[in-house]
Amino acid sequence: MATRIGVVTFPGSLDDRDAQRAVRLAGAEAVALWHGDHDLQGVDAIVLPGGFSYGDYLRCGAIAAHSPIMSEVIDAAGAGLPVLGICNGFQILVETQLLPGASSATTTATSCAAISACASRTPARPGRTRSSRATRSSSPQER
Amino acid sequence: MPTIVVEVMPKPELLDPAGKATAGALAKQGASTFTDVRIGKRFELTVEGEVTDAVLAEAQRLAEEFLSNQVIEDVVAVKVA
Repeated sequence: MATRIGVVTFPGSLDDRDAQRAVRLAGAEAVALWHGDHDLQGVDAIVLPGGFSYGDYLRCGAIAAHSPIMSEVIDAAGAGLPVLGICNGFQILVETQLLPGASSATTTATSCAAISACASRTPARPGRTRSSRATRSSSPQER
Repeated sequence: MPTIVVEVMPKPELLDPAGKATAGALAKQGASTFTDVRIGKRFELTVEGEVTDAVLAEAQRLAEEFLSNQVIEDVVAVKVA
């Protein structure tokens, strides 16, 4: 039986479908999870995808970190479930304190905010990722 | 209805990239009066009813646990507007 990997969608997530596609390309079954649910549907691992959850309002990932699904993700992670945060997903993990934040005592070293900002500049932008637009995808076998 | 103002600033020992970029822009404009800039946030919380000590304490707790990220930010003020 294929490994089942959950991908959480938050309001403002952009790269959830991209992450689901990556899960399938890796040979696993992608399970779409919803931020408002308390159900992880028994998945074997979780991906928090990239994007701009809640428009990056307050702080990147700060509001999403308090989503109903995240209490489940935090408990599951504590029990050993693998969780991958990509870009904004990584920022959400830092806000939940599942990942430690870095704090610098000097003015020349980077702060946690700078590391989070760097992570958010690396992914494909909206409109430039083939797989993020259903109309552009041309490989039925990848679905 | 009364309002409570919360102010959040980056911790003083941290590099503030946004503030530093702004200070650099000021320098490029030829302004030498202001040598450093740090950027924070100001929240206005509307209160239903009276601002009691309990309400202020609740605002302080909210400020520390949610409105700011204590790893990189300080709550520098919680006051009735």
